Amino acid sequence: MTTTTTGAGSPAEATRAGEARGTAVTRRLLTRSEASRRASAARLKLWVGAICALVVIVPILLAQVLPLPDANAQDLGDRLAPPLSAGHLFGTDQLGRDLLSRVLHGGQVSLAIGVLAVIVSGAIGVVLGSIAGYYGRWADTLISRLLEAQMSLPLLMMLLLVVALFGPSIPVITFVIAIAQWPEVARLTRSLVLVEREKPYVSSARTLGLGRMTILIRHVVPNVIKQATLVVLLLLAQAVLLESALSFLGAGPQRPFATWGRIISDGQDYVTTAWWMVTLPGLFIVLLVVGVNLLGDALRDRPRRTTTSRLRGLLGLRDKAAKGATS
Amino acid sequence: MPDTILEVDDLVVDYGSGPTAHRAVDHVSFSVRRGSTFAIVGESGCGKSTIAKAIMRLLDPTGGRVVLDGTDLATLSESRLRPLRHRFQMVFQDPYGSLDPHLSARDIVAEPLRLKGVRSASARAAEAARLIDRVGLPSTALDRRPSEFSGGQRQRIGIARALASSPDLLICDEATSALDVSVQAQVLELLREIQVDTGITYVVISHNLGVVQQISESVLVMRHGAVVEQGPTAQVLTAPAEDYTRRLRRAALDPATMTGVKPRHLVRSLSTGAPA
Amino acid sequence: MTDDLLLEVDQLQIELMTANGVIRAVDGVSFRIARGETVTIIGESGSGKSTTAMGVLQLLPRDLAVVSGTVRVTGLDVLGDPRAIEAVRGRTVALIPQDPMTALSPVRTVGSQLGEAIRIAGAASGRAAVTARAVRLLEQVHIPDPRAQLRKFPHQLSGGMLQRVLIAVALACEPQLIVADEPTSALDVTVQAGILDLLLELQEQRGIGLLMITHDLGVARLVSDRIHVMKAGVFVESGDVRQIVDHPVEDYTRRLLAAVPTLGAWDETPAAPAAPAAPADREETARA
Repeated sequence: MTTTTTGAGSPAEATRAGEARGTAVTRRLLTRSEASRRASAARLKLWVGAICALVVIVPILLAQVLPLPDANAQDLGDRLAPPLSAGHLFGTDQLGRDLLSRVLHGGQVSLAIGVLAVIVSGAIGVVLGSIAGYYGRWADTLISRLLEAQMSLPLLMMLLLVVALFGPSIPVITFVIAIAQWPEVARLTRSLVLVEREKPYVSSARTLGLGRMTILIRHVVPNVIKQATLVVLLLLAQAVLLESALSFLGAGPQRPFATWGRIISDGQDYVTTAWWMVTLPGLFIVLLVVGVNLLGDALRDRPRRTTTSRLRGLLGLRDKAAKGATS
Repeated sequence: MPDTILEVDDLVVDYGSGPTAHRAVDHVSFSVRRGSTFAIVGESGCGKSTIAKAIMRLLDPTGGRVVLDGTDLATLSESRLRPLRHRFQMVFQDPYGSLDPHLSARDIVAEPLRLKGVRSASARAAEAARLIDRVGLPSTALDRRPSEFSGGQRQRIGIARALASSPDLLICDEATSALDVSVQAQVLELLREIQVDTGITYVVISHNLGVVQQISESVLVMRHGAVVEQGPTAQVLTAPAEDYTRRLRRAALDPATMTGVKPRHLVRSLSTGAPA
Repeated sequence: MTDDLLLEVDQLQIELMTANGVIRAVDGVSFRIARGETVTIIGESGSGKSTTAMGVLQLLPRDLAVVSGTVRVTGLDVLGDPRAIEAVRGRTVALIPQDPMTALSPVRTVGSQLGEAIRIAGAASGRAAVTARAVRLLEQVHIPDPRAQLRKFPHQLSGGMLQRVLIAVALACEPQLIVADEPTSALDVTVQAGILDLLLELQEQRGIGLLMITHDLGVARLVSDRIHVMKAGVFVESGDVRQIVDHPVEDYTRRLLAAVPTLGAWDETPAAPAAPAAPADREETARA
């Protein structure tokens, strides 16, 4: 094949033959092509996702240095002030506390819990998933049944139960969310490992006499980790949502930590009169979740070299089907 | 008896057990002379790849012996087998799956060196560079990953890796079947050179009679897990004794010997009887 | 005779719009196929041969491939009008795909899929007539016990049988031209011989033109009247089959032929029946 990238020079062979015939690829065809559409879709998702997520994350990270009133400072003379009032961008709640400050400081706790939970669930999920996938048999049975049992439990009920038993402290809540999420990571990792396990490079490692754990850690996991961590990113959004749900139901971290769920819960009674108390924190959650999900999608779609694999499939240019290959 | 490096004696391999067991290798025996090339040829399902896996102990034989230089590999425990593994290595069929995609060519070739006891990283790197050069790849290849190479180049890397263990026996399981014919010729030539230089023994698994004719001295013809015929390649392929071998031979289309246009008679006899 | 020309391809150019830029997979190829002729395009991977076949049949997605040049099927220009191809594809010209194991839907029976092809081709209608035609088609491709095979699913048939079914599907519309894209690459060598024999037989009986795509020089030598050697999107050499194989002109063709391992002559007379095994070179007798 001769490659003529738009704008770049073409190899001599192609030029000689191609000079007689110009290219039939018009600008219009090019912009409508599957490759361009996919690339621009991925680019769009990346930018929109990044912006949404950063709009939420950056202020949260900077909460300490921004000129905001203290999150717990009550000002009963300025209760239920609407957004954009003097000194209160997001307005105030029923005790006169600045809403923006509460949302940002609360976000620090919510995000911290979410990130920690996702790291723990990611680690547990990848470890158990790869063991189940690679070792198979009883290890797989044990881990898969455990995974399925946990996935079949109603999630929120289970979380509330654990919190009721062990108290709503931050470590407990982080741990509980991590436990809730590891099955999904494990399931994906297990599938990926099952596929890699059959590939000849694993057999090649076995012919060197390497032990199973060594092969798993040195050869298999590094080849699945990238896809597995993408799922972990998507789970961050879910973790933040779970924490918000717990706090909303009163099972979240207690005072002085006012996380998003608690803020929304506090604002329930004022939904009709002071809509901003529920809506603005909710908006933050939405932006974060949507942003992270779009980012995850874009990162997952981007690395694929569309046309090579698509072409191969179309033209049957699979690794040449060898006769006698299955003996 | 000329110097025998590998003796396979009454090998049996069953997949599964009980009434649903499938016998993939059915009492197969053969010997391989040191420094020679022994080919196993047959169509799909004949058991030739299973034999390769049994010799490599990628699976455990159900019965029989696989004797490499006096040691029966078939029944050894993995821990007893491990120190011997460097003596017999394999080149795989699929160039796109047989190299770890996240490692560089240097790491892939150097991995066996670490197991061989080459402690220092620089010594391993130097030896890996030498092997990469030996298989005809430039030194710029060392830092690249498998996805940056063509099929033929990947097979060369696979060969370099196999040679890193300094094996006495190399099993080539359809090593050139997935390659273009011109690339196949180059890889076969590389293998031939290596054999001339080092005296290594090859067991070549193939479905391609032309390849078998070109590089092997002895050949074993298999069908449905059992031996059909074996002997010196020249004899088996030019004067086959068994009907099945004749069918295989007739079905092998050699452009150099065909005459006329659309010589249908060459294949008509093969399609009489129930089509496959 | 232009009347006899089933396929006329002139300066065919296929450009692929990929993530890495525009790739010219086929760079101006021209060839003709007349009735009863087999024209083979032979090449290695990446040469563009399969792309050419798919492009001629317009089976490449429009958002990936831009096909230009001239393609005429039985005189009808199929490139000019995007809908013109539908009048000929599956009617005048049929395709035999490369991998028989994946070319049929795994969830429908062979009979159902063959029946669909028959109905679309308008060759028969009504259950009884379609079934009868399907049985006849399977007989024509020498499948034993056709009625039973119709009820089977693709995974229950071997590769060779499946390829015969696919040939039957192609024949359902009584095509004048068949495009065979590496029809035997995924098959064992003895099975391949049967399929190639079938194709030659069909050509002898019906005068079908055949465009064969392959990388295998042996297959090309067997089935072709003319060969085009393709490399990097262009025809490097074209000519009569005997001339290309016995007296190649271009370097590339010569190297390609030289790379094919030769088998040479052999003793074709069958062995004497029930001859006792010579002890020296028989260590294992074949199982009964």
